[in-house]
Amino acid sequence: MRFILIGILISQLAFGQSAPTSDSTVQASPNPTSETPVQEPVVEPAKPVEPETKTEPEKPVETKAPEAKETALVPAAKPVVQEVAKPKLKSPLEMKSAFDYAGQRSWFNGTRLLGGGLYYQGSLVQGQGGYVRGVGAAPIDMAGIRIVERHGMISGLILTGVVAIGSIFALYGSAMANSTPVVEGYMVGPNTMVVTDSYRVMNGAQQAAYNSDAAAASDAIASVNPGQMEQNENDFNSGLWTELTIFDRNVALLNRTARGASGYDISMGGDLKLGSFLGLPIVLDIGGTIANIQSARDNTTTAGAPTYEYSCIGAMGRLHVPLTRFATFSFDVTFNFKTFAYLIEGDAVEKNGFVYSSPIRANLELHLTDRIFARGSAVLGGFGFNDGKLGVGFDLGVRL
Amino acid sequence: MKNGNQQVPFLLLALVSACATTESTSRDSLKHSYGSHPFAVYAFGDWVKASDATLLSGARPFQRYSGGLGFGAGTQFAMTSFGTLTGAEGEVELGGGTGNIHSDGKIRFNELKPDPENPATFSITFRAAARAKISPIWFRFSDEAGLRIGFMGGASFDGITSRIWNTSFVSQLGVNLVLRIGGFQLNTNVLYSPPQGEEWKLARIQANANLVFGAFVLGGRWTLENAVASTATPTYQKGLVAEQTFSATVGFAFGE
Repeated sequence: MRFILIGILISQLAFGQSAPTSDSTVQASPNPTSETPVQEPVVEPAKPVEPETKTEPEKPVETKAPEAKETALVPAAKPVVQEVAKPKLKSPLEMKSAFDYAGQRSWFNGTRLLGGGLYYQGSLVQGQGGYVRGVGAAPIDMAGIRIVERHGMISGLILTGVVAIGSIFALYGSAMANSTPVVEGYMVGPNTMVVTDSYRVMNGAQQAAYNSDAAAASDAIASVNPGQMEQNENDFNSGLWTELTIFDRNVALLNRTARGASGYDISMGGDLKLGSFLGLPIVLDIGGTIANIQSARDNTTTAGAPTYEYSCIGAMGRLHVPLTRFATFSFDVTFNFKTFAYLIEGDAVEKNGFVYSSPIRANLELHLTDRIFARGSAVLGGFGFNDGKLGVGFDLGVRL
Repeated sequence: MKNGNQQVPFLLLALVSACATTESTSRDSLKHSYGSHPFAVYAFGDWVKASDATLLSGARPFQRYSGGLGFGAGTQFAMTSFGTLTGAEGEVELGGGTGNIHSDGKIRFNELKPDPENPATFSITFRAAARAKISPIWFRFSDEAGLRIGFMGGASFDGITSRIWNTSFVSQLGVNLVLRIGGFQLNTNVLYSPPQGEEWKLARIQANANLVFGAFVLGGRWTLENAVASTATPTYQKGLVAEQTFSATVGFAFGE
């Protein structure tokens, strides 16, 4: 302590100002260039900094970059460093168990986690109607298991793979498109053509701008949830989500019949924090969805297709609005690209047993505890309410 | 000579102990699937005890032997907001072995009947599997000791040319238990594949355990598979095939 006070006194006498704040000092001190500040290239060239300027408080050095100025003002002032004890959560490596880790975070995160933080949901789904259906048939039972990952790495890996494959196809398509109609070159004979390529090389400024844009994009991704990111340096938050529902009539609890639906529905994408409501995050999910759900024919109808099939390739959006930390309302819309088939084939689509609807869904999710939740859903899978177009669903699950 | 034979197990034990004690242990006792290491290469041997049953022939027992080399990987990546460890593991194996040696002495190769066109008795084995893991329960007793219990989900692909049925990727769900004490680690999986497939409905239960002593890996695996032909075809008469596979592995773990 005595050394610190002496250091502050010396720095005040030497520089004519109080010691820098702990934050800036802490940032500046590890900088290896602090020992040779005059070598900084950002110093204004019209006023070259003399070594003596460090000992002349009347003539402070004018520089364009404030960081350089502060760096210049901290010569051998390591004793001055005053580290403010910032309350930090323990590293997972210091935790004795999963329960210790969860306990130091919060015993009830509730809907707050929508704004960030990696977690998984697993739930048992029971429901009826909304997706697969048959003309004139009773609503079909929809039972299954739903697994959700939010802000995790599996979503990132899958999306990275999809993007990589898409990029390969795009590049291939681009190459094919460019190579076919337009070829730069010249003929050297009746059957021989020399093809020439042209390249555009970035100059220094263009390269710097490109790098700056890339860095800004990276920072934007990292700052989706800065508060959450600061909460624990070990948090993982990819800003991505994946939802997989596997329908199987064998997991139906109440009405296990041969007409139960079987198939899958997988959606994935990214999320955006739009704002806050009651201090809790309002989140918009945007992504793509693929689904194929089938069911046996309804025995009560004598006509129709042997099986019913709901198929979807499309885009979806889902808005989560937290009502309290214990409840969330969400509303999602799916745009099924296959819906265009109705424009071409009309009613024949469903008479053949296929459903290519673009369902909309409203959900109310209740967090009974931080780890157990229940969700009720209403699904509208077409115009009208007949033939099981209006469906309901109920989830009971855990968060891990 | 008798005394010399009796000393062999003790020498092996001493060797394994030396491997375990000289191995530097990871700061995070629960991170990797092979002790302090995320990767392993190993040799495996399989013994298949099975029977096929057709409507015409009834149950006929047969056996198959194979072996090969494998590469395994597994680690934990991140932790959820609830303290759940998340990670992934998987393995790739390539080997070869006999065809189906029936109790009547005939080798039937990928058929329910003798194949005069293909009398080869050698089959190729290829396996690949990948699983995501989430472990909501874990305890770290010290820097070098811990316990992890979790769930797994993934898919496996089994291509065995002497098999009667053909299935593509088979989804799997299961549980995982890892116990680590210093240079010793026990890694146990139990996986279930619900009935799936088009031509053949395959259901599978698989249990495997790896013992890791430092960088030395010893493993065992038991698999029970039941495949039912959905429909009769000219090649495959409608029937049931049940196979039990007993596997042993010996390997070497590496990586940080």
